[in-house]
Amino acid sequence: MDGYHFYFAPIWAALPDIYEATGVAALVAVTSMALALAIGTMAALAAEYGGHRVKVLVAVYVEAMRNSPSLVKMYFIFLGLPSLGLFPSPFWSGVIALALHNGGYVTEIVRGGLAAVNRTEVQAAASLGFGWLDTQRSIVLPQALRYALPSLTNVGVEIIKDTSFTSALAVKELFYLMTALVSSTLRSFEILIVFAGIYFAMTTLFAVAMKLVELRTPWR
Amino acid sequence: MQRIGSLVPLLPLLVKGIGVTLLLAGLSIGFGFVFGLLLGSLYAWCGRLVRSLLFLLVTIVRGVPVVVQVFAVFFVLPAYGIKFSAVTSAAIALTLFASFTIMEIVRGGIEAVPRAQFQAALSLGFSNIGAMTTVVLPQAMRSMTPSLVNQAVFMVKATSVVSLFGVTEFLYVAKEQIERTLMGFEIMAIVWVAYTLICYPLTALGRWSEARLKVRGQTALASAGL
Repeated sequence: MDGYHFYFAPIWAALPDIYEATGVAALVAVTSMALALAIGTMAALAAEYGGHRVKVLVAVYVEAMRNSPSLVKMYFIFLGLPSLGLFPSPFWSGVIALALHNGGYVTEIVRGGLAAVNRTEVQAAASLGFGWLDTQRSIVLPQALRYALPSLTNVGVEIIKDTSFTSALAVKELFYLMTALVSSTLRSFEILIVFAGIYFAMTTLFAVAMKLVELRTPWR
Repeated sequence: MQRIGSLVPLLPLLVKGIGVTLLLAGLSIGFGFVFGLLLGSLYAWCGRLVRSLLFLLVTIVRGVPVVVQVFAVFFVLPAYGIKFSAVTSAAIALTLFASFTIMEIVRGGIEAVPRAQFQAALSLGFSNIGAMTTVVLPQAMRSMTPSLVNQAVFMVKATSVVSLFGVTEFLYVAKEQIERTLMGFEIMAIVWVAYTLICYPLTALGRWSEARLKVRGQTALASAGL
């Protein structure tokens, strides 16, 4: 193997496909992140304020999510739900699986954030005549999520990386295209460099952007 | 009920798959721990050049999906004439991933031990290696334990990735049987429960060690009058 010749031409030819696949991966990531944040925040609030049964339910949800791979949930939704007469699309199977899986982690993180908010804040809000929803929306959650932000960023990075699993459901995202390109062009090393680079750029840009948000969001 | 009955003959196959999953997890956690300790100590020890190299590697490993890393071992190494069986390739890829993530944990653990401990050990006549292995690392181990246990859980889950490369571990076997029997719901439910049964004790251990560490840390501070 003297003198490896890099040959990127087939990859440049596939540039429009790569562009599109990056878009799909980003869409899967952003949708899953939004849903995971919504699920996690609601579950955390439910565990914080709900009765005993709700607490147990949230605990079961969290353990069911974080003790198995997200791929298992993907296959469960995509291959399992059809037995019940539900036929989710590959895209939504992937997104919902990622959202539920990471929602379990978000629940734990937001719970930590809620615990960090001073109890007197809630009492002060109540004395000012704030209802429960207003207290949460404008007093407790902004602070709790600010505490949670660094950990939430980590979950976001995991979600971006986990979008690669949706290729198992034939969602045409980056890893799917990567394997397709390897079998059609056989330039595995060049393809690895380019695609690893794209993933790396996505996770790094996301982490840096979140760090900026973190720095620019004042503590209240 | 008949559907449930027809699941029984699949169980031995699934158990075999679980065996491969546990083997891969065990290998990657075991070797990952050894290499992680070595790399972490190297990081604590070496100069700026080695540090920046290790930092670069760990940043790449953490910024790129595990699937892509497994892909590298499965498709790029053979192009250079380095060929392994599927299970060996999977074990190598997962071990690489585990080594670098555990290196980060070890690095953090070592940095949490005050430098004075190391210097005091040297002044008592310990060699560099002796000070590290008998004074610094045992203390670092304590703060590292919860993260290490969590990493072990992560590795068990990460083994599922290699099913995409045709390694006949648990998830691959399950998917194969779904394609054969079309009992997606039942088989995936079994898989989900089985993974949970494997991982939950480890998760609980992680939580327990974390709580224990916190309490002991507090009492140590309290007894020091802080």
